[in-house]
Amino acid sequence: MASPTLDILVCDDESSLREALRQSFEREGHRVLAVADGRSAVDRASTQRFDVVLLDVALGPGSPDGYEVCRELRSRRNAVAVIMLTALDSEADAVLGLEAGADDYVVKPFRPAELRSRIRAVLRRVGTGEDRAGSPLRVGPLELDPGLREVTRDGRPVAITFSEFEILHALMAQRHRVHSRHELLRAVWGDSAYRDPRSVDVHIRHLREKLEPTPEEPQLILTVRGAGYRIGEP
Amino acid sequence: MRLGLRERFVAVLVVVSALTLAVAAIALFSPLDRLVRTGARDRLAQTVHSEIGDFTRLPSEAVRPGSPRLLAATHALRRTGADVAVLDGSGRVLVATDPEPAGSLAAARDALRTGREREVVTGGPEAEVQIAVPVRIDDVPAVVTARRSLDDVSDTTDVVRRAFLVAAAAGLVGAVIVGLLIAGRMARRLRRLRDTAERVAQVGPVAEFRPEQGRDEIGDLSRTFATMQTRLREQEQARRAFVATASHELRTPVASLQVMLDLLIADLEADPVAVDDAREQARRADEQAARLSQLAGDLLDISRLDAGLPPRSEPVELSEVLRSVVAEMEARVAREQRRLAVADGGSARALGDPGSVARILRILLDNALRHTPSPGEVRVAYVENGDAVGIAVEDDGPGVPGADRERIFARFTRGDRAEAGGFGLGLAIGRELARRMDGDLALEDSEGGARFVLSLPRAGPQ
Repeated sequence: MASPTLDILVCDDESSLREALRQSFEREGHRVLAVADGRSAVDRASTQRFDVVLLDVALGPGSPDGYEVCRELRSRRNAVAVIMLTALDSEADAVLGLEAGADDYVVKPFRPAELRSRIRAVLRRVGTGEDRAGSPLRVGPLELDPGLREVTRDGRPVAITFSEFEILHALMAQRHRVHSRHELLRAVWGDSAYRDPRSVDVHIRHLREKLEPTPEEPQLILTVRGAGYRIGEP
Repeated sequence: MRLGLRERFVAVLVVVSALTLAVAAIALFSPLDRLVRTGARDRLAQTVHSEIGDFTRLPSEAVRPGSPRLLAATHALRRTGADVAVLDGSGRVLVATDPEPAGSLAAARDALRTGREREVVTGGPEAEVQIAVPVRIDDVPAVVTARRSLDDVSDTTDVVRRAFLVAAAAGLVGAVIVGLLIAGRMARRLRRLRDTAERVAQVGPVAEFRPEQGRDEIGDLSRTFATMQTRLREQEQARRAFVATASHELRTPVASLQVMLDLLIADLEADPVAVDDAREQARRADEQAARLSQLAGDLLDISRLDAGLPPRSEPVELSEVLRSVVAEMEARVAREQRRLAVADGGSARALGDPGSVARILRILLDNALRHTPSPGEVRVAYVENGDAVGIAVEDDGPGVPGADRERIFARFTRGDRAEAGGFGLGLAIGRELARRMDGDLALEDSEGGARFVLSLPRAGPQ
């Protein structure tokens, strides 16, 4: 089986975890780069493209923390999926990560299977090319190209994260349906362990900020009270 | 019934005001009464003396009962409101303006007998003043008496008394109102403080509170309270930061342990079983578990330190403690191909807790061994400095860079290249333990690697 290979960046200040994750991913056939601090993570990501970045939140003294690194990576647009590894399991901390542009978070200690399911979800989209057959979707001023993983508004490209892309894709692919938060979560991560459905709200808000002329009065991505979200017909 | 501050304050104010007024009344009224009576008597006496000439100028014929001229002479005295009687030398009443002059006769006869002026002031409801003056009318002896009721005098004191009572009542009402206002304001300010304290008790030190600006004791209390709240908030923040860090430090090794075990399972399930890989994973997992138990111990130490249990204080034979700690480490030292050189000497005895001293030495030796390249040497020596005795541990490692020299004693901070497996708690624990025993743990300048010195107070002679 020609297993597709992902480039994975692991950033954690604990050497034993770095080492264990490297071994675990390499066994699955991925290429892994492991760094101990935020600055090297940003440095490496600026010269190389990574499909998945696993980012510890607390990176020790002297290093920018995971949130800052995530924001920095997002501003450079050279990482597809950013997953925060956090030891802080309060929801407020988790939302902080999503606000910084992370696609998801995994609370330490995690079961390796949980992490692998995230990796597989990314793999399905970027590695196998299964979506490449899909033709571009168009709604109003928006155009989404599943093959190029590109979103444009009025012909201009919009920088978009992995989860944002998947959520928008799901909404645009079935534009007449209302999508519940759980459906959208599944669209991003597949059928893996339970995740906080409110993370969808954060991604939706970021999408509106990027796509809507007036994010407070959305025209493209509409909230259906008590049910979820749908695409607005212009 | 519970009396509030306001009610008590008002009650006290009213009682004190009432007592003050009562004392003032006593102090005022009795002299006033006396003063007014004396005044009335003096006035009457003065009038009698000044008008007495009307009688002395009369001829002797006028000295007979019912004499119209004698009666006319009483005119000036009568105008002052006095009753007048004139008696002759034998005590016979010649004229009397009073239809019942009997009351004034005793004084008159007294004056006649002694030949001297006589004054009588009586009290009670029918208070009056009498003056009897012996005169000679054309050489005939006689007595002129004037008698005057003191009713108008009591009228005067009554007016004063009434005015005083009105003023006192107004004063008491004023005291109540002022008391209510002041005490009410005080009680309100105190209630506000109490409410804040309650909020702090409920939601913790983040409860909002703006201290008041008052320049009195309650203002001071309010500001002190705000300071206390700020301190609590800082402590709470420090505690949260500690818990967050401790949580990270605990969860991360557990996460790696889980990944290691996951790899181990995969190795065991492989066909054929990857025995060598599995053994390697199991070894690492074992190491990781040991680190975790070390961390759990450190965290327990920290929480014990934070609980503030006082350390024991007894003479500790430093060389003895050091010997036992070094013995614990011998196997490891040999395995890692490092040398542990303990200098001679050291009969010094320190004052402290033997368990804590051993704990600190373990931390120092463990750190030194970890930072010393293999093969390399860790040197342990006794130091004495005046009243302090201690142990210095010096390693062959890279030393501690200037910027880190104090930082490494903080909780959860490691030196820059301390990837070597510690959690950054050892030195924090060591220093705190040392300071609890009135000693210290410090990093001293040295040529090569790091040199940590534990110093403790010297124990007195046995």
